[in-house]
Amino acid sequence: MTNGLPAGIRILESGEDAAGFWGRLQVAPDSPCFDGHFEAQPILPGIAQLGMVLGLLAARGEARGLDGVRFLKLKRPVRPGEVLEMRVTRPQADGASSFETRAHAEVVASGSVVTSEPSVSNVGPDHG
Amino acid sequence: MAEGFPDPQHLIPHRGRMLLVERVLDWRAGGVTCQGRIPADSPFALDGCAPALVAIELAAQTAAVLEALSRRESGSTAGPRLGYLVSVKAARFAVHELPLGEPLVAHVRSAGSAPPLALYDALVQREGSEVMTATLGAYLATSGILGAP
Repeated sequence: MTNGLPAGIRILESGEDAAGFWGRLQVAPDSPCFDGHFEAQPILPGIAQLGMVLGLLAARGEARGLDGVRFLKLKRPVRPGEVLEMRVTRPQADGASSFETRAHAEVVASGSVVTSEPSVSNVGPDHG
Repeated sequence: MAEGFPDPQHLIPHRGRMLLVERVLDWRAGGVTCQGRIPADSPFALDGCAPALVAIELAAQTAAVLEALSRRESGSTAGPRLGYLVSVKAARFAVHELPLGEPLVAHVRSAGSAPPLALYDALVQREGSEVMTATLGAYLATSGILGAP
């Protein structure tokens, strides 16, 4: 698997420029991400930000697996139905990329991740 | 439910396909160990696997269990409190993917707090081998009836 985009999150459009990749993502009001997270107050799980990074990279032909998260800051919850604007820098030689996610121009999350080419059978402790 | 420990559903508000923690294995001052698994209908599932980043969610829910058990020990009768995962630092993944439906073990220890913020060191294992380590940060609200890191 190379695309970490969670169910119910769709890339409306994407592109690239000198800084890296960008995408507009729609968080469906009925995304399964909100199923039980939480019943009275649905918010997008913070890990979805990392899935969106992998999904946007894959959509731009840079399918990667996540090796690490140097930092992730979640500045405010994402609610059902929001449209997000994400920017991800191209992976550097050491696999590092930084990203930022905005909603209505407000930063909702930012971070720095380390990714690498996906491992085909990298699902268990027996795999290096 | 493990003998002597409450069902996690009585401790944290996660439900359905977003509930990963299934039982408490051990709990002592400042740390807790929980077993969990990624459900087959996880929103992150694809072709029988999920990206290993889901281990962060398991660790965050385990941190929420730790908070709930600590509150119970202190005599609080309040239910789960509102809380948010606000940061992840120095996360390292030994694998890119995790299989669905197989047991994972999360060890979480308190790494300090400055209310309403709290830090936790987390280790997630599968079959005894490390799959993820990270330091998580949570904002713990002082009131509310739902939520967890």
